[in-house]
Amino acid sequence: MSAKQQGANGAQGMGRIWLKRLGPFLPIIALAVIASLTVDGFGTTPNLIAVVQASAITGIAAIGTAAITISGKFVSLAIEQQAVTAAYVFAATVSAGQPVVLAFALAFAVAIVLGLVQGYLVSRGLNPIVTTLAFGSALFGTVVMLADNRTITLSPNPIAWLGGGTTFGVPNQAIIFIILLVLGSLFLARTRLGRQMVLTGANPKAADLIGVPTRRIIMIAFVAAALTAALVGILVVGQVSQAKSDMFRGLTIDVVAAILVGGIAIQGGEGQLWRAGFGAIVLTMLGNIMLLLGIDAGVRDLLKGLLAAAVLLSMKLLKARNP
Amino acid sequence: MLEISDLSKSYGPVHALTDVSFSVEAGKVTALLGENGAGKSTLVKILSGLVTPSAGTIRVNGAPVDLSSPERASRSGVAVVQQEISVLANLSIAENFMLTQPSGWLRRGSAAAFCKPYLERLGLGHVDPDTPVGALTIGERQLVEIARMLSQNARVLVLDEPTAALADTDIDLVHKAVLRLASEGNVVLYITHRLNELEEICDAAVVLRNGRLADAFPIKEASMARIVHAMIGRELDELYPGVPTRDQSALPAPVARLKGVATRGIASPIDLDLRPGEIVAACGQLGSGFVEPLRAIAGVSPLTAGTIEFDGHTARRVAQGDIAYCSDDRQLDGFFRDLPVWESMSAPALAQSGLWGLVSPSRLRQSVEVVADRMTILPAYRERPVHALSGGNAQKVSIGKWLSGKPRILLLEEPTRGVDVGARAEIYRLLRALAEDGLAILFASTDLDEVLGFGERVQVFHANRLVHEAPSAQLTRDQLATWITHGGIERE
Repeated sequence: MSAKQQGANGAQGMGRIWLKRLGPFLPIIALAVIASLTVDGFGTTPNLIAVVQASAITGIAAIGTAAITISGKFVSLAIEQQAVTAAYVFAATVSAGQPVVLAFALAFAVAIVLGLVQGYLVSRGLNPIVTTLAFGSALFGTVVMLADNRTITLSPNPIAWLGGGTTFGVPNQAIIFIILLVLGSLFLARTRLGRQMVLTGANPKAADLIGVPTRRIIMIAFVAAALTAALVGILVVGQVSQAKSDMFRGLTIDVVAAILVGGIAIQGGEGQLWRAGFGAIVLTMLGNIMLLLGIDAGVRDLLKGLLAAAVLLSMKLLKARNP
Repeated sequence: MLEISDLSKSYGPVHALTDVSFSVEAGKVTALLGENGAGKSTLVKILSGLVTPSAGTIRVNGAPVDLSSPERASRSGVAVVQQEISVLANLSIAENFMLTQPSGWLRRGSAAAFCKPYLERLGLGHVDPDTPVGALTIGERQLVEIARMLSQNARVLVLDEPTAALADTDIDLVHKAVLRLASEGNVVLYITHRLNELEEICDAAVVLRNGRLADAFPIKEASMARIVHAMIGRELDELYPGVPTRDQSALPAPVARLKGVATRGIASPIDLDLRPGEIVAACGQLGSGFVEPLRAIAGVSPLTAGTIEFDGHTARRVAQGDIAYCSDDRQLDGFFRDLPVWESMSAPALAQSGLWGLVSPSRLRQSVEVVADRMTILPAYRERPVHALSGGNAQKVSIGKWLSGKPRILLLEEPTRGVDVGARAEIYRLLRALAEDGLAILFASTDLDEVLGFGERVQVFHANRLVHEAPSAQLTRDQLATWITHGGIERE
């Protein structure tokens, strides 16, 4: 190959890489611009903040769950159950008169244990989908049984500022979400653990032979997912001042959709953590626009499903063209 | 007779094939040769109907054939046996035959009777058609696949490296079947990397280079020099870098000693010393246990008896990174095929640095440069995903990745499988240079020429036992072949 040819290819390659990097942003920017021009009430600051706020819950959980996806173990289907568990542990500890710090510590400690158990089982070769489905069901049953299916209401709510408050007009939930987005993107690119997580997902056998502790990494990924699910549980308790068993219905599916729409390869070893949070924003924005347009709930779900399918299909086609 | 005229195929600016014309006579075995990337696989894809040519025609017995889809290609009588075996292992032979029958009904009763004659033609008459394919050897599976093609009235058979993964006995089986098919008047196009197969079964050879026809000649007019020159476009002085003549006792103390080691694949305990600077070959048929010493040292096969000493100390595990091991399937566990080359090459050093802490991607990229230069991997390739590389370059990545971790022992299974002749010479040279720098190398191979040409000391395995050990200079190819197949040299 001549130097000139190589240069041309390089430029083309760079262009393609940038297109690939910016690719997911283009539809969201286009969507936002079109919507703010055509949909009444979309472009207002309060509405945009509401979109980020509404995507924060799904997005935070999705960032942690994406660690599982990237390490090659698909997703956890026990997100909502783990969020409910954390919500109950936190609310029960606070309502028993214990300090808030202890409530946080307990909720996260439980999450770490739950993550380790799932991670251990999956790292020994159990199918992640089946394992987390069964685990989530057992966990949910246990929690509902222990709580007697009661609703625990916190009054006063010591973390109302965290779940519902704002800083300089921006909801604290959204701030936490953005911070995690930034940390998440730095994590995979610039930490040893993050890079080895990508290697584990890209080829677990090769990673193993090279000496990457793949089992430990898978367990860490499950702990990360459990911790973000627990954080989500606590944040929502702060927002609504209560813990009840059906408070996160549908969260797991939203998280999986956000990961897929964000463009994280479901087979692992590819993608960045921020994409999951980004996927959550896209999905929420779409829901928000449809709501403002007065589209029915049924149609909204249908369109969301079609969007997820369209994203998957376009990724597949893009891959086929640039192998 | 298969006639290919002015065949071209380009992918955008890349010309995979340019104006290739040749003809293959019926009743003869014609070899299709070329390095990786010479256009062989594009040609095979065109013949199997997976790829449409940009220009050119393909005729069988004078009439143009329709190769626009795999179904049409097989209906036109062109059958391609792919490298990856496509018979289904959990179905029986007869069921596999029925899968490709046009009728929608599976008639189990007549299926066995239907496939029997085809199996007999290929020397598989003794095999019950109701045997699950999974119970057959790899070579027998190849033959089942060929037999299935025959049942679809194939007249043109394209065999893509059918013996690449076979043991010697299976190779004989396939060779006999191929010769028989040709003698029945079929057109046989035989793709191979094993140059010794040319003399054994081929009548003519067609050589591609850089997507063009480089040479075509009858085998009896061919010399190894002509074949290699046609393939790589230059003279190849020496495939093997030459075994240094030296006194065994002059070598440094062993870095690893196997003492009475047995694993599940080694029936009687073996001893083996690996010394810095020495290249030891382990050879045998597939399944004879010849890869076991490597796997025992690498820790992949657990020991059932004996000890391994590193630097005179018995240790269950040596320091991570001291031992570099490449399995015989680099696609499976040799690298990260969808990630850029530098990611694979920096991975061992990254893993050795532990899980915690920060790392800079640009520094990782730079860290592989010395090793990549040493392995002669061009800078342009380092940003590409490994799957875009040729077999030779991929193998350089697979071996080279370990060098970033400064290993002391290098264990290689089938170091040049699927690597073309030019890149093979380069890999041998690189490995020899690594040994000169003090690396102890142990490789396992089924390629006898490689064992004798590249190994200094040879260990021969037969039926899960170490049966012979000798310096390669004291073995002839025939002796080695006898040791491998019979576990001993018969006295006459």
